[in-house]
Amino acid sequence: MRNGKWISAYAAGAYLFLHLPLLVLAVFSFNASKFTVWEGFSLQWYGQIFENSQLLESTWNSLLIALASTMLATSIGTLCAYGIWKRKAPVLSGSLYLSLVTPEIVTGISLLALFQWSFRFLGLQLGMHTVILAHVAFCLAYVVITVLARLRTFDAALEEAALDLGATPWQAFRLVTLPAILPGVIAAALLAFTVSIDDYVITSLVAGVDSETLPMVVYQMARRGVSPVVNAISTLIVLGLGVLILISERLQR
Amino acid sequence: MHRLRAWFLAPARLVNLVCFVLPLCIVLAYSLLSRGVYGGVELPWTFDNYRRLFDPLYAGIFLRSLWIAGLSTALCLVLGSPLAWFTARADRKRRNLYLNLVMIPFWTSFLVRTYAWMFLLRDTGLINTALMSVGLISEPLPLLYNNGAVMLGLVYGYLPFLVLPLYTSLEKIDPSMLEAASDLGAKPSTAFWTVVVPMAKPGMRAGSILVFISCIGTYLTPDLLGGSKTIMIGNVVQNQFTAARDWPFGAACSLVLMGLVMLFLRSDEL
Amino acid sequence: MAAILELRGVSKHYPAHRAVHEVSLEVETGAFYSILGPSGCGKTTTLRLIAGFEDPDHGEILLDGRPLQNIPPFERPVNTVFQRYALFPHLTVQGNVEFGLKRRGVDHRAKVAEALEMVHLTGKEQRMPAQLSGGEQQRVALARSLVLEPRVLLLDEPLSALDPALRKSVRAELKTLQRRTGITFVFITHDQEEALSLSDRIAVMNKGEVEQIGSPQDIYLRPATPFVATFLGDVNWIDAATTLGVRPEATSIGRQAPEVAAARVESGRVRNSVFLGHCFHVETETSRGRIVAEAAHAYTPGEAVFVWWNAADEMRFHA
Repeated sequence: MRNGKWISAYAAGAYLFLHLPLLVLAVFSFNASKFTVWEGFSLQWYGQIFENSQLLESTWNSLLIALASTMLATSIGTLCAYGIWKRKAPVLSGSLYLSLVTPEIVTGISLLALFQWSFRFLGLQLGMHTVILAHVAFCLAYVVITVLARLRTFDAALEEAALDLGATPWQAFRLVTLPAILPGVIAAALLAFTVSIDDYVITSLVAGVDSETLPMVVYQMARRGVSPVVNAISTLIVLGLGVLILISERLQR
Repeated sequence: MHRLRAWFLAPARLVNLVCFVLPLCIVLAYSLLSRGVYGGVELPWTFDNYRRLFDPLYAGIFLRSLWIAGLSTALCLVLGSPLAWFTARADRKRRNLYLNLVMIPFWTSFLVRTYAWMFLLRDTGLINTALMSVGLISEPLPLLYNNGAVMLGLVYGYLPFLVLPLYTSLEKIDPSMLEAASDLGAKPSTAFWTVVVPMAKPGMRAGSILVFISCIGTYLTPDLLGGSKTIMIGNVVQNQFTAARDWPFGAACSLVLMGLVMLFLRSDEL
Repeated sequence: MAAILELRGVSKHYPAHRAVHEVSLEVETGAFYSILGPSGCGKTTTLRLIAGFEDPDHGEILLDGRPLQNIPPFERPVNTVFQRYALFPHLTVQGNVEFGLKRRGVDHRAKVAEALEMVHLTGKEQRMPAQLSGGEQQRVALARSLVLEPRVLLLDEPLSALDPALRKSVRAELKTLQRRTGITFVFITHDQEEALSLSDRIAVMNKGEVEQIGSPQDIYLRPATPFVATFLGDVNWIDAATTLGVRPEATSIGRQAPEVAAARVESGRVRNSVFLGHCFHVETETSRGRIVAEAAHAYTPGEAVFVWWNAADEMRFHA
């Protein structure tokens, strides 16, 4: 069975549909003109990124948030996946799955409601910490699913062998299971990182004045009108995340 | 051993409880309260927020959201099925490449991908500028801020949700099955309808549900690509919690949206 | 000799089936003890109960007279060779073999070398499991357990993953290893030939219960139940109620009636002869039903023949 001429042509068209908008965006990030008319090659918009303190600051925030929430979500999620793998936890799995399909806007406003409500007693304000907490919450399900997929290919007899040879359950996990599923854990971390650094909807609702993230700034700039700087920063985001996702995909094989 | 497992699950249980279950409970409570004078919520308990959903204005938005989501799903099915078939029939070695071609843009920044369409469709965007410069049109075409643009954005954004599960189903069809069908006297078209379609059904259903629930709950796409007349449920929710400061009504809208998502998820099991 | 391992009325029931029911057995110190049975008979569950991966619902497991209840697997002086070896893929041969010693905090260099020498793997310390042949992997699994000098070594069908050509030689090595180390082996298998040739004692299990315990000869020649008789070899049933049987190799055939006085004789007709290499199995139809006899040459179908056997070779069962 091979693909015929027509379907191959169709597939080529579909891939073009999926990639061309991003490609055009990237091409015009190197445009010398401010308008959508090609006037020659220039790196000026990339230069402007580094002069824009709002962009730089929000990038820094995004990286900090993504790093912190990735580390937390990956640790919590890996332990959780292991627990579920040992014996099913239908309520927790169901709840995590539901959190994955919940519309972002609903997740966002419900977290906002939680923070506003609890801060009346705690005397806290929206900020970095609320953003990180929100990100840990929505990255968790991604990590659990990815690590669980890896655990399903892991031979449970290896762990029993470790126990049999005198390892405590914790040692068996640390010395045998964890090394075996490590590629899956790293893949999950990369996934969590991309999901976190890319989120706009939830973040914009629970962010405070000191925790503006890169997607929030990109959003504002995009709304304001055409600026090749947005093209430039978008190109960098797509490239960066593309590389991370590619590595993550590789590790999951 | 059971004790270790309990410790392992505890942090995830805590995060899920505090950051998912509890917030939804608070939203549920808010949806049954009255709007506060300065925003926020106050007593008494009431069903008014749910009653307001039947207001023609909001009922219209709900219906339009369902309609846009449904049509986008149908479009994804039509456009994505051949792509899934192509990927499943490809050389074993190339399948991963073809899948990655679909999945990589999917994982990279939904915001940027939506912005890319703004860049293309705006009055001063690439398509209008190009058409005007070759003299085909003198006024920019109204490509952005309408239902079409929103659906384009949704199809573009969620097409991979359809391709991946459908591919998984189609991949299970062994070419020898089709050979067996033709060996047993089935014409290619008969083989397609009696072998391929039944086997593809679970993937089509799973993919359609994923696309539909993503579309129905979308916020960013209509926000950026739609106009004032193309707002969807997600935008109503966002608006009630920010500009309109009517949290109880926003909460009711979110719960109805959540209910819709769960309803369509369940339809997979039926 | 005293029993090193004892199971007293051990049961393990799952919602769907009784995996192990009222199993009692005693393993003597230094014995090569086999648990034999078809797949799903509960032998693997029995092993997992002894190793501590499962807890019995009822009954007691005693090691050196002390109950093992509530002792987790990592504290039991019992080690297992797993069916597919379960070698740690990320550790070298050395790493696998010293894994258990490290958990005990024992000085391990010399012991690891000694164990590897015992299984003829000296020089392969730095190999990864994936770089080893099936037979070598199995020897690493053995060394990894033996180096801990367990009171009892449990072996879960350790030969089933090997290709048939290798199986017989490994079988001999296993027996030698057991004699040299003097460690008590509890060997799980579904292969009656393996069990008969290796064991000092065999427990035959069926549907979660022990059907018979005895020496290989006992089990083969004096099976306690029709199940044991048929599981260990072919049987000619002399009556419909399966209370009387005789093995084909104890059944003779001839064109004339035998002159031996003690023989039980039946007359019948040949149905067909099957060539088995070392002999023929001649299938006959008699008034007692179908009887198969072993013969040095073939018989023509339809021929009138006599089949006979000694009363001493009859296997009797209670209905």
